[in-house]
Amino acid sequence: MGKYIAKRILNAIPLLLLITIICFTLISLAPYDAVDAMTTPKMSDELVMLIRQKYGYDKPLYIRYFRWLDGIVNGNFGYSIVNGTSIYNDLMARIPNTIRLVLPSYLTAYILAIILGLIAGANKNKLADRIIDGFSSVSLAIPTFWIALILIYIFGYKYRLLPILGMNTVGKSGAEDYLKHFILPYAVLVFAFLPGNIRYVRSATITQFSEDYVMVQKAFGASRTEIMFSHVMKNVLLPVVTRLGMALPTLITGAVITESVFGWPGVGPYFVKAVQGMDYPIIMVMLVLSSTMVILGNLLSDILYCVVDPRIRG
Amino acid sequence: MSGLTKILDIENLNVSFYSDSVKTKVVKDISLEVYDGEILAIVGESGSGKSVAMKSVMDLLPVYAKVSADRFLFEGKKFLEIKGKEKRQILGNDIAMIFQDPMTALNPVKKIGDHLIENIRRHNKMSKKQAESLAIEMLERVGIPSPEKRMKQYPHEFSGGMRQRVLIAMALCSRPRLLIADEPTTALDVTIQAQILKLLKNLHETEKMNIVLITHDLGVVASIADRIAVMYGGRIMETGTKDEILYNAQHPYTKALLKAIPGTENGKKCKLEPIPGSVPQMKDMESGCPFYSRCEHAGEACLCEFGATHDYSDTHKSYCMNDLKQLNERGA
Repeated sequence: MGKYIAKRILNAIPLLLLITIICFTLISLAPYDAVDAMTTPKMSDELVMLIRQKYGYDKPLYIRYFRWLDGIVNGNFGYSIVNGTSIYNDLMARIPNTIRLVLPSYLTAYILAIILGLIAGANKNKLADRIIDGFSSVSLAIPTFWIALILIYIFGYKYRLLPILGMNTVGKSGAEDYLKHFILPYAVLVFAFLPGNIRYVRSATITQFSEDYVMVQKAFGASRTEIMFSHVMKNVLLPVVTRLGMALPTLITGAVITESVFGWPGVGPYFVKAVQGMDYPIIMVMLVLSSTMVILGNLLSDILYCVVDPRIRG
Repeated sequence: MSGLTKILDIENLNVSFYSDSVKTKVVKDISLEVYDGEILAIVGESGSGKSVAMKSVMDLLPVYAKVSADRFLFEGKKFLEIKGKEKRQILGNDIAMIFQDPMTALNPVKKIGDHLIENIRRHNKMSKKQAESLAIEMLERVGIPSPEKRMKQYPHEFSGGMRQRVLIAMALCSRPRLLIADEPTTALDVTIQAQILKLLKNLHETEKMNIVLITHDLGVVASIADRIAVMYGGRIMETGTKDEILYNAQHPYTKALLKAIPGTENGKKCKLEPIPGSVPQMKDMESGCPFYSRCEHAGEACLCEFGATHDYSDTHKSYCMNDLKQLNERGA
């Protein structure tokens, strides 16, 4: 097991390198000169040249890449070229906010999805299934920003029950104020994470119910409830548990749109602003971070599979 | 035979499948009895309706199947009318079934012991300890070595033959009156087949368990059956004791089937005679004899009507429109 994990981590390193090379190349292909972010049209050509040299933009692409890589490996994430702040400090302030929002939403959606998916799958084509599956089809098609705006309109504007922006009211702190700010983006995210998970659980349940062992259990006099809880559920939960690993990147980049709509001080607005301002060191760090999360998430999934499935464990 | 108790008594069983409002009759007017103390084999090609007929006993047919019968008694109880909880108390308890593919019949993430204990405790009031020791006893009974250790293992750690043994042990736990074995050896290789059949025969004798064996393998039949029902196209063509069917077959289909067994005559290899054509689609044979299109003696009457009954003995019956006596005397 330890050997397997070590091997997987070693395999991930070249993959990560490849991802950074591709990202770096693609960004430098963008029709944009990074120096423009730091200069004004009034500056003399010599001054622009000096700035260019200072930040190393006069060097060829591969040298810039290796310099950047050297920084990342040594824990130096670089600085924003727009406002000069340390990216590491910025992220350290923002990532916890995002996790605080995404983690409870994802867990809520996950648990709800397991319950609803099992109900739908066990009652395939019956009323309960039609309602649940209908709901997930529709909500899969609705963009989250639209839901967010509707909620803001109803609760924030029409009835003025909840604040619509940020994580705390300026000058106020405390749990109540936080919860008031938390509830709308939380609801939107639950809504966003729900349909995909429901569909996953539902189809896994349907597949399991058509397996031979279900028929055998029926022949041995097991009731539907017994089959469901004692046999089908465990088989459904195996792939579902491993989905948790896949959700790892969501913790950081899972709520970009929702955070931006609600002005939540998380990673989302930071990233969106960086893209708008072509703040390419930030974009690079975000790409590396999220691809690392995807790779780690996959690894976590596989490890979880080994832990829960006796066929692989053996 | 008529003096014996009937365990299973079915008269004119019909099973139809409905799809898109099209009705397909899959089992037509079959009558079957299982007497106490016998092994009945139902023999037929794939698609002859033998499995479906027996699954209707176990309530295992899909929702689009409709079952009806003039009489359907299991140990004197009107079995088709029993539903829900009452039925579940009988299934797996008084009557059990084992299946064709032991590889998929067990829940892959549940230990063998849990399979057995769960099933024992479903039908008997028993502590977990008692159930466990009974389970171990049953595994030993069906010939699984070191059962204590095996109880803690998962299905994937068992071979196909061993899994079939586990399923037989599961069936055996509640000492059923009737075991329906749906092609129990088809998915196993030949040496294992013989072991499983021997085990079934043995359990039949020692546990007084009546068996209905569904198979397409006449070799299997010859080795353990007492009585045989030959099915084709959803109908029973001929029934009789093993010897009556194997050595004194009357029906053209049974005879054709027996000729198609590879074998030797007087030590010489003899030519295998296949039945020409293939099994017709169920929907193409609404009335009339299902064997019509492949039968060398088929006449016009066969197209419209299914078999007149010919009685040869108390146990031996066949259903054919032809005058079989005349036919068989001609040496056909």
